[in-house]
Amino acid sequence: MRERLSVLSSTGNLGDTPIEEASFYEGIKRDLDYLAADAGSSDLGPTFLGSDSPHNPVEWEKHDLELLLLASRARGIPMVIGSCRSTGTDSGVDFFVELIREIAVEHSLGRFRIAAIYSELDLDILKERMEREQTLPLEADEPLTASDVEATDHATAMMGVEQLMVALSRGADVVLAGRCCDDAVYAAYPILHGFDRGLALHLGKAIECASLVATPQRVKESVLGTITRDAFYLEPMHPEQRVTPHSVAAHSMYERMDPYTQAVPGGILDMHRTRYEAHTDRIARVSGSQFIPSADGTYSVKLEGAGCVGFRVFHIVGIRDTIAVRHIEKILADTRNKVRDVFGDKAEGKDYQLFFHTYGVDGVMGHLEPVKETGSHEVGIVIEVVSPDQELAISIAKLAKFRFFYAQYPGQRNSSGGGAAILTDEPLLPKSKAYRWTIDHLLRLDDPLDPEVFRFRYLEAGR
Amino acid sequence: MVAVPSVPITSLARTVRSKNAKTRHITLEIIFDDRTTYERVKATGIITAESIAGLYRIPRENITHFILFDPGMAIKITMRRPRVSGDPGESDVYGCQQYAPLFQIEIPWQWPDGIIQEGQ
Repeated sequence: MRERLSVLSSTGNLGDTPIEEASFYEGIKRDLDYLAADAGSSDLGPTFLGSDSPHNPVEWEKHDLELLLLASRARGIPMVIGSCRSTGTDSGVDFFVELIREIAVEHSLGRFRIAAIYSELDLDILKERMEREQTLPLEADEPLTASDVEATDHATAMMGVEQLMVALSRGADVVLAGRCCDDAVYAAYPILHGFDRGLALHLGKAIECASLVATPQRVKESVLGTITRDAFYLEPMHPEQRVTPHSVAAHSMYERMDPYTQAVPGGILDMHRTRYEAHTDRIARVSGSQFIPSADGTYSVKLEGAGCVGFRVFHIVGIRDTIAVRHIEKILADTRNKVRDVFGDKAEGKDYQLFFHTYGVDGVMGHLEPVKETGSHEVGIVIEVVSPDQELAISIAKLAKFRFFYAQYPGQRNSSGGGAAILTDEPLLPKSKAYRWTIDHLLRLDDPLDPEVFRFRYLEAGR
Repeated sequence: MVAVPSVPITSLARTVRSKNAKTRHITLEIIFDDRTTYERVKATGIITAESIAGLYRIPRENITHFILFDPGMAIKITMRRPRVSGDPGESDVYGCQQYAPLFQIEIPWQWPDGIIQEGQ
């Protein structure tokens, strides 16, 4: 049995900004056992899953995959990619399969084996299963309902280490996974080789954003992770970075609610007893993290779904008149009322939604903004209209925009237009749809390899 | 009685940030560089779930987690988002600009004599 395994992490989000090459090439000089990268995040919002469309430029995705594939093939070590093309839909997995094959041809790579793991859910099957066994709300407020599923365009299940381990144990050189837990991408290989599951998962959690675990902050720089029988070690490949006990601990809580526990399929990662120590002044050692299987032995996966709520249009208006700025609340209320008047036969909230993002007042924080009086000499208003009826959305945005030009307020001096427009109606031109998260629930599986949820395809590439 | 001078949290903390915690929560973090400062700030009891709720003018129950995370020398507060990330009308899809009100936190503080601190 191996005493240590090493992995290189070079990006926290494959393809959203290209991997920095100098520290990557420094890293692949080391004695590596596997490569891994997470490509996904719910941080992107619901649009890309809902519309099943790419988030990143394909050139950057290909750039990152090319670096990883060439290093993986040159050294004969496996690589694991999670949440292909950001959302991990079936088309995202297929898209990455094609990119990998294309790179293999371009570089005349020798033969290797790809495992594609699909985790997009058939919505009819989801509806059936939801009626048979109740889903648990995770972030959502209530168990899943039929109407949630009907409001969904695409849904995925988030795999853990089990599915990746199956693909690796069947000899896959390149694993391209659908929606996947970010830590699992790094944890599956060591767990398959008998390393402690708690340590492996914590290694994954700590390293999945690459150089964000190190200090001073840099992005897309490579970090070397090494797991042993009783600890893991993190070493930055950028010469100016350090991984300190503090930087790992601080990163272990990043983007999460609770720094001590992390739910994963089949149990939790418990970090209450974790020890963060300095191995050298730039290598940190972490030990004591434990995996605790779920008390009732159940295995649940997170479901993620998003669906279209209608068409969305924006208009942009600026106000520089300081007298108008002082009365901005009144002007906004007047504009909304005018829309309600003119579109009296439409119900606000149902037929359309109208929002003002008022930069200079509360454009960034909205309801959370504690500062009530603006100190700004100008404000910018982004008018957002969402409606199932595209023409209605456009008409409302136009009306709202013009109303700012005809605004009336105490002390008014202008009579030629109370707002500045960026162009005239060009902001209305890019016609797009709006999406929302519809599913954020847990589905209990009797078998982690449930074929209705996870499907495997093996194929050869290279020559 | 002589009033204890106070300093803004930005003079004491290395990092003050916010970020999405999944799609329905925002997590705020105040991270310190050295243990003494962290422990002293903690001991003042100025930063609590209640004081943060007051700062953001939100009900206390909207704060779901308040954690003093010793290994990270950090105070971590997680709250429900008023709107789910990316929903129509939502304005900070990454949740990364919601920490600014934390800058108003003042900590009663007496620097040791003769030491001039940066950022005061």
